[in-house]
Amino acid sequence: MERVAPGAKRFTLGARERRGLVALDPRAILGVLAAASAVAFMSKSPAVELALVASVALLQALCGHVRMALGYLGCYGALWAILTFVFPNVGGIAATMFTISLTFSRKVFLCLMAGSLLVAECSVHRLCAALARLRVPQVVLVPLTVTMRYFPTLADEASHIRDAMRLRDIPASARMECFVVPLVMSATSTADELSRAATCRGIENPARSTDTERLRMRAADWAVLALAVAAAVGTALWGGAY
Amino acid sequence: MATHAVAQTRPSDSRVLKGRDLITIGIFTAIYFVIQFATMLLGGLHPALWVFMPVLDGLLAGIPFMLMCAKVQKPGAVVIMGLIVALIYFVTGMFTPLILGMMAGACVLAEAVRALARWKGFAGNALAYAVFGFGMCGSPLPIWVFHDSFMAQISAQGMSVEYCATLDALASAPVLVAMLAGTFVAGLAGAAIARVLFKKHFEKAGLV
Amino acid sequence: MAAGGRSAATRGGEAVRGRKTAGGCMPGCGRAPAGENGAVREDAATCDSAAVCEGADASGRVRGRASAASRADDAPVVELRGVSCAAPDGSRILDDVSLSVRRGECVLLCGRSGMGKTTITKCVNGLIPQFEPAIERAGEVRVCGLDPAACEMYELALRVGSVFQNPKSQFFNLTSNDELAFGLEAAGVDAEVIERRVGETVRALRAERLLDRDVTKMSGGEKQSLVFASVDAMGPDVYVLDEPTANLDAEAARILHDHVASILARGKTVIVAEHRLHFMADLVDRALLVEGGRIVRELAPDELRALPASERERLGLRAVDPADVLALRCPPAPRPTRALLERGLSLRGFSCSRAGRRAFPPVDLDVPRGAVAGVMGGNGVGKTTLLRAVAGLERATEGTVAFDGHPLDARARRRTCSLVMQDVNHQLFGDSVRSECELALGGAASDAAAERIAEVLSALDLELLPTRHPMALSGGQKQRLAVACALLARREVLLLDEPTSGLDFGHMVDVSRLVRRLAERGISIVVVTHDREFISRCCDSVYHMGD
Repeated sequence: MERVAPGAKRFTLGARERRGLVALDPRAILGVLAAASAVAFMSKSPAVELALVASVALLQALCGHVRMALGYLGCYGALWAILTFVFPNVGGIAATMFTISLTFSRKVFLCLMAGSLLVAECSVHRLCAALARLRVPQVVLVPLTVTMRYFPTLADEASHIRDAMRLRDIPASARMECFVVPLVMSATSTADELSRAATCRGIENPARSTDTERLRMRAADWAVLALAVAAAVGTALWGGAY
Repeated sequence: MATHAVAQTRPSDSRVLKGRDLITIGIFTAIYFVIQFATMLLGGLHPALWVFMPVLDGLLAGIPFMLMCAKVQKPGAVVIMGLIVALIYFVTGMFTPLILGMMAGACVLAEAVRALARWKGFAGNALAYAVFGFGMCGSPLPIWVFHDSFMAQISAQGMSVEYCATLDALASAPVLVAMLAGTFVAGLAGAAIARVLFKKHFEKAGLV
Repeated sequence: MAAGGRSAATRGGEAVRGRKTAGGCMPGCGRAPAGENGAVREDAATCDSAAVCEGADASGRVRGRASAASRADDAPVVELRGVSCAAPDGSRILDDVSLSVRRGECVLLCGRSGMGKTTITKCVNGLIPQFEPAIERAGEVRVCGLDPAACEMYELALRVGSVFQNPKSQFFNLTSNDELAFGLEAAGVDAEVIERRVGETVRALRAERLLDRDVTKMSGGEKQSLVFASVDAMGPDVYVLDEPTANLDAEAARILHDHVASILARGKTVIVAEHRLHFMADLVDRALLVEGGRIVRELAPDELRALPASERERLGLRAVDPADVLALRCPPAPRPTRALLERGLSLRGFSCSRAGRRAFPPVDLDVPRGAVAGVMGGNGVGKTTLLRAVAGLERATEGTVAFDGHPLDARARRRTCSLVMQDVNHQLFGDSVRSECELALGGAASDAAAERIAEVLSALDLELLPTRHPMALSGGQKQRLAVACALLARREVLLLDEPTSGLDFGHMVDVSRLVRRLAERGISIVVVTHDREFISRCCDSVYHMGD
C-alpha cells in the first residue's frame, strides 16, 4: 500500500548522512571527552601531549571533520610556539595577561577538541537521547533541551531590545536596567506559554520516552572507547613529567 | 456538582517538579548561563580577572537565579540548574572534573539551605545563591590545586623568574581565601540587586 | 493515491472505532500505568492511520465534511454542563456555560476579547484547573469521556490537541523533525510508528516544506504550521485552537485554514476561538457568540455570513466573507516626483541590504505630515525591514530618507522616527507609566514636563494609570504608552509594525482612530499591516511592496 509520490520526502527519524569513515555514537565521544578531562591536569611530557592531540585530531578526521582536525593541530602548534618562544622573550603586559590563560587553554586543549567533535557530530536532541541512555533522568533532560532551545530566542529578544533602546535616549546609568528588565519579562512569559504548550502535548507523561535517534554502540564505538581509556591510563602511568 | 475540580493540588505532589517547573528552570538557566559565560570570557583576559571571575559572576547573575527560586519553590531546582550549566560546559570541553566537583558540592549545599528556609523568602534564597556561587570557583581553582604542575609547565615554557614569582603570589592562600569570601559576599550583593529589581519591577508587573 | 478509492463512510467508521478504543480508558484510569497508556494509543493509532486520507483537496474536503456530519453518533465528544469559572478575586470569568460538541463538528467561538472565549478553550484542554489552580471551576466538563480536572494532563494530551496564539513559544526542539516526533516520543510510542504517523500527517497537511528544518530559521507562519502538524501527528480527536492566526499574515492564515480543512475531512472535532472570522467562515458548522462569560447566541454559517455589517461590528466581530475584506481598498500611493517633500517624509530609491542582498526593492514614497501611509505586501517581502531601515536600525542602506526636505543619516533618523514594534514589550523600560514618560522626556522633572506628560497621557486615555507598571498594562495600553513616549520625545515620524494583529473589531477601530488623531498632530505615519479592514479605516494611501 505504501506508495510515496516521486520526489516526496520519506520521514525518517535519527537518520543522518554519514560524513566520514566512521559515524560514532555520542556515548563514545562522551567517553573520549571524559578521558580528555581526566588527562587534562595530569603531568605529561610534550611528546605525550602532542601524541594525544594528534590522535584526537585523527579521530575528528575519521569522523569526516578534516578541516576541524587541521584547525586544531594548527592552533596547538601556534599555542605551543607562543608560549615557548614569544612570551618568554617579549615579557611585559601581553605576556602577563595571556600566559596563564593560554597555559590553561593548552591544558584543556584535548577537552576542547573532543567537545567540538561532539557538538559537530550530534544535535541537542541526539545528545539528550544519549544521556537518557546513560540514565540521566528526564527532570534534567527536559530543562536542558529548553535551555538549548532558548539560546537563539534569547539572542533574538536581546537584539530587539537593543534596537528599541537605540531609538530612545536612554541615559547611560539606566541602560543595564532597561536591557535586563524586558529581557527577564519576556523570558517569564515564554516560560509560561511554553509550559502550557508542553503540558498540553503530554510532556509530563511518565512513560519512558522513545529513543527516536536509534542509538546503538557498534564495534567502532567500543574500540574508540577502549582506546580512550587506554590513553588515559597510559598517560597516568607513563605520561612523564612536565 | 459544585467544586470537585478545585482540590487538585494534592499535598504530596506540591513539592514534586512538574513540567512547567522544569521549563521555567530551563529558561532561567539559559539566562544564567549566558551571564556566566560572558564573565568566563572576560576572565580569559587577565589572571586576576580569572581569579575573581566567580565574584563578578555572583554580582551579575542574581536575577535569573532569584527569579527561578521565586517561581519554583521546590527541591531540586538548584541542582538541576547547576547540572545543566555543568553539562553544557562539559560537553563543549570547557569543564574539568574539578569544577564538576565544586558545582556538585555547591548545589547540594544550596539545596540544603533552601530546604531549611522551606524554599521561600528572600533570605533563604539569597543565602542559597551565595553558596551556589562557590561552584564556579572551581574554574580558577586549578591554580592552587594543580599549582606545581602549572608552575612547572610555565617555567618549562621559559617564562622569566619574576613572572613565575608574580604568579606564585597570585596562587597564594590569602588570595584563595579572598576569592572564596569575595564570591560569597558578591552572591549576597547580587541577590540584593535582584531584590531591588523585584520590588521595582517584577512584583509591580505581577511576575512573582 | 493508494487509499483514494476508500469511501468516506468507511473512513469515518474506522475513525469511530479508533475513538471507542481510546474512550475505553475511562476517567478512573488516572492511575493507569504508563505502558498501558501507550498501548492504548498504539491501538488507536492503527485505526486513525487508516482514517488519514492522503492529500485532502478541496473536493475531498467537502465530501469528508458531509459524511462526518451524517454519520455523527449522538454522544458528544466535548460537553460542558453549567460550567462557571471564578478568578481568585471572586469575579466571574465564565457564567453557567453549557456546550455540547458532536464528533466531527467545527465550532467557532467568537466575540469581543476578554469575554471568555479563551477560558472556554482552557476548560476543554484542561489548562483550567490543572494549570491555573487558582481559578475555581464549577460544573461538569467531559472531553472524550474524561474530566480534564480529574485526569492527568498527559492522558488528555493524547485526545485533545491544542494550538495557541504565539508561534514563538510553542516548540521545544531546534529541528522540525524532532518537534514533529515530540508528543509521540514523550508518550513512548515506537519509533517506527512515530515515523509512519508523522509521514501521514505531513502528507495529509501537504507540509513537506516543514521537514528537515532548523526551527529558529522558520517564519512565524511556518512555525505555527509546524505546531499544528506536531499536534496532528499525535492523532488527537479534538483540536482546540486558541486564536491560532492572531500573529500570522494572510498567506500563513490561509495555510492554517487548509490544515483545519484537512483534519475536518478526517472526521476530527475542532473548537476554535478566533477574531478573524473570514479565516474560518467556510469551515464552521456553527458559531457561538461569547459575551460576558456566557454563550449568548448561536449562529449557523448562513446566519453568520448574512449578518449585516453594522450588527457584526456591534458584536465586535471582524469581517466574515473573504471577498468582503478583499473589496476594501484604499487608493495606491501616487508615484512621487523627484523633488523631496517640503513638509513630510520622503523616501527615494531607498533600500537596504542584508548579507549582501537587497532586503526589498528600492522604495519611492512620500508621506506628507498629517498623512497615514499603509504598507502591504506578501510574506517576506521585507516590510518590517523597511520600517527598521527607515528608523535607522539597519546598517547597509542605499537611497535617501528625508524629512521636511532634509536628507537624514541613520543616526538622525533614530532621533526623528519612532517605531512601535510588533512586540511592544521590547520597548517599555520604566517602572511606571509616569517614569516611562519621564524617560522619554530625558528625565527632566520640571512642571512643564509634568504638564506635557499629563496632556499626552490624557490624549491617549492613559491618565488614570500613571503608577501602573508598563508590563501590567493591557496590550492596547502598552501600544498607546509607546506612542505616548514618541509624542513626548517629539518624534515627527511614527512607524507602526502590525499594530492590529490579534485584535477584535472594537480594538482595531480604536487603533485606527488613534492613528488618525495622531496624524492630525502633523506627524507622518507609516503603518505596515496585512489588515485590510484597518487600512480602509485609517490610511490615506497604500504602498504595495514587491510589485
